[in-house]
Amino acid sequence: MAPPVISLRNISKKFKKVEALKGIDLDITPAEITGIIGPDGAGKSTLLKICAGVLSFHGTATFMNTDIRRHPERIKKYLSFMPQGLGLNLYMDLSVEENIDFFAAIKNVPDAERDRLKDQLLRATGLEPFRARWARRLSGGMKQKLGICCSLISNPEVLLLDEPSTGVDPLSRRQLWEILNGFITEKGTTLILTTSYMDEAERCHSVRFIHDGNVLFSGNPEELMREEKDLEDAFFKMLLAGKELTTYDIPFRNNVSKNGSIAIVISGVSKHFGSFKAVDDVNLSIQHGEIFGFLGPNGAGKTTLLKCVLALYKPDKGSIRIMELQSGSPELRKTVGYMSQIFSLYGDLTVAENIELYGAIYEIEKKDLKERMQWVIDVSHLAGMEDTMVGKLPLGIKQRLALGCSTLHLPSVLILDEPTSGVDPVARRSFWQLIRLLSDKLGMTVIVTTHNLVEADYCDRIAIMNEGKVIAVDTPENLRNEFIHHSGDVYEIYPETGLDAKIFSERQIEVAPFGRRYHIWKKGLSENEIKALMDSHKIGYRFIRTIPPLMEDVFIYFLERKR
Amino acid sequence: MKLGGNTLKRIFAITSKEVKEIVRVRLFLMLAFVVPFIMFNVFAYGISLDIENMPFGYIDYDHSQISSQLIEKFKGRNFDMKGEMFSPQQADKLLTSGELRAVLVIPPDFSRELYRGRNAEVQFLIDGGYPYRALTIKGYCQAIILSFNRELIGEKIQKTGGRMTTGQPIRTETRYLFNESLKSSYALVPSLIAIILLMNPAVLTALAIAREKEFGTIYNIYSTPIKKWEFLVGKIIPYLFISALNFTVLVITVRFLFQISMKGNILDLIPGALVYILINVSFGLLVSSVTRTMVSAQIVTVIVTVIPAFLYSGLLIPVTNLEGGAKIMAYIYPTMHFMKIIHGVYLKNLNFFHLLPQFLLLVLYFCILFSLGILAFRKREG
Repeated sequence: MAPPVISLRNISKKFKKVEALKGIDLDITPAEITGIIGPDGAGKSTLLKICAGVLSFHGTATFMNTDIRRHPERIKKYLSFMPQGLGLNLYMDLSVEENIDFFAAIKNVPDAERDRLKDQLLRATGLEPFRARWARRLSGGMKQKLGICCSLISNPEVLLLDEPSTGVDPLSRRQLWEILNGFITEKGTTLILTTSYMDEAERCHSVRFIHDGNVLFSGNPEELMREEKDLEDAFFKMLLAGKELTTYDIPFRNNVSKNGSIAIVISGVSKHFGSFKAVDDVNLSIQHGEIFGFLGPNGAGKTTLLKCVLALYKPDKGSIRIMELQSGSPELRKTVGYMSQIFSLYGDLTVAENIELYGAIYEIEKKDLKERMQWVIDVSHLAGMEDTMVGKLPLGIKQRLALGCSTLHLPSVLILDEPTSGVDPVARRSFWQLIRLLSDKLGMTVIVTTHNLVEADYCDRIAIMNEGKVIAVDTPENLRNEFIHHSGDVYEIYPETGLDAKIFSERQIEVAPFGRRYHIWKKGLSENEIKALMDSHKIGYRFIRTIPPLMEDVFIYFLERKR
Repeated sequence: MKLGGNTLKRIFAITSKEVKEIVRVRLFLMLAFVVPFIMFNVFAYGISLDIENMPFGYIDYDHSQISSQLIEKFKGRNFDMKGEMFSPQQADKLLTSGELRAVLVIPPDFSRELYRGRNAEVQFLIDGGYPYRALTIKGYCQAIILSFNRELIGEKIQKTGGRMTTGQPIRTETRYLFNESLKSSYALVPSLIAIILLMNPAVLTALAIAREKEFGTIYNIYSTPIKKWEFLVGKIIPYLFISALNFTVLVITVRFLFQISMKGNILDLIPGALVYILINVSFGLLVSSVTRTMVSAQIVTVIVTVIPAFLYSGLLIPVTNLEGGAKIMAYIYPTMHFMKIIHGVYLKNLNFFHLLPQFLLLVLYFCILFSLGILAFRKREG
């Protein structure tokens, strides 16, 4: 095996009182994709910055045999580092081309080499037509693609990307992975990336699972997937480490009767901001007691639509009826609960004070409030912390508390805008459990938005949104079946050795590399055909199996069909 | 330190990126050019206007022809004559309430003393609530007494048949040199150039680096082979040019908007001004090395540069009137030394060589501050 390109021994890092890393050992294999995964605040970014030589630390670290601590400047000509956040390494007031040129100049790329690689990258990312456009005017996905172009222009030996796909729309995410996979195969680049999306880890050759400053797992994703159906479940088990996920019950009943079967009707709603169509002719009806998800990338119009439902925005066209009342009717105030995208609690008030405040706003009677407050405190794991300032709580707990507060008045309709954004997988899962409970026990109709397509399976029905339009509405299962019906089953192949993806693409088979595995699909493609194809190229394989299509692929399918 | 082709290329890449950003973002453009111009004018007009039409009263216990002559002298542009007060109590009340800024008290034996050929004394009661204004009023009063004295001496010479007398008929203590007309703006308005050229380059530079830290683009610098001095030099070049342009605009403004002409030659002022700009750019650099956000960079810059400059540079309170720590501050801050150059060229017609000590001192400041700025900037985080 090739010697590691980066080698960390007993690395620790303290920020004031917080220990971000607690003596980590880690090796990175060259010419592979290594995924550093883990919940938020696990220390992933810290680790990446140490590898890039932009953060001080304790311990021994070498980068291509150079001591990072002693000679951080010597390693920088070999690496490219992209910090976390959409397009945060870009200069927003420079054009696409100027950004790339700037990076080339500070990284000493000769002009001829720069121009050649620039053309190649711009074509691959689909940014070619936007050369002269300012970075500010690019969409989130385009910014991230440009960020990757800027990182690749110096043809680095090692590419360090901090959460490259967070907040990127599915189509751009797919392109991003295509470029990265291409680069690794063609140039033998070592790629290290961090992610809090567990599904993304499956695309890596090798993963390091970081939790609370320690490495919990180091190895190939395939090793974990033997026992669990996907990595998320595997990591979830590791995080819980034998502990059971707490279950709750609701000690009180909702007195809202389920009189009609349809809770919300949205008909022909459009909302424009200037010439920008944030919401474009949306028609939907949501049933009583349903968990209904709006899925789509940032900027798809999810929040705007919710704000129309809440009568915070007046739609330019169309109408919305909630529980047979016009949206915005004063009677609705007590039947609708809302948790906004921006943290809606007061950081300078204690847990109990926040709950009391919401109780007062919703005019809940004293005797009811006591019981409900106890419940909110139980479900947000805050027993004994009633007097803690909310500002000091971790995000996952805050979100549960906010959810509790928005349900204090036992609304019939609960509207949650991106409640799980930035929440780690464990907290996310128990958050969804809570939503399910509210829906099952109290018959609440819950509307949730999320940009994380993986969360589709937590919903009864979903609406996929893109550019203000709803492009598909159904249960996640039906949407997948429709994909399979039109595009064929999705197969996962785990070859013994590496293979050239061309053997599939030249037969018009869709192919996406996932670490050492490949996902392939084509209408009418059978397992026997694949086996024959593999045999004809003399490629052995550990398994070929059908898997449910990824929601991301389903999304792209519907998007392309709409077009 | 080799200046290879790549070094120049990297510096140029930083500079041209910075220029594009400044030109394309209206806010930066405003900060760079409009804000300093407006601030200069606000300060300059504010200070000059406050000094005109000062409400003025008098108490005349003498009621002689000569005392009326003296009072007549105060009915000029500088003072707004409110008339006679009939008691010290009334004068006191009006001074307290701000309805009067100064009161002239002429004692009962004023004319008698003068006719006897002796020195007479008058008293000025000045609202000292705002020391700078009080000093200016004092200056006006002394100037008026001075010119009144000349007239008296002239009359006396005529009467005595050309024989010179020594001594001033009315006693004055201070003479204002180099600003004979005692128009405060002659001394003040050019001094304000030093304040604007302090604040603007410092704030702009601090913001320029803090901006990259706040947005995250600083990691491009941290994680690439560019050397930190290359980055810093490339970064400050545009601000040097902006400030040089602002300097030109301000000199023109002083000449044509405020009608104050320079006694010396502008060429003697330029070298000092350029070094002074470099000092303040380095100041901003130093500040931005210890701050993380644009807001904190701006606040810290204002606190460590502008406020001490206002208080201890001799702008509002003459350095000679400062004591102890304040006086030490005045000498430590470069602003006072640059103001000496400004005064030298504007008011005293001094040339570059007369002002060489101050100039060399500024060069020393620059060397120290810029070195500190480079040392304090680190290509990695804590």
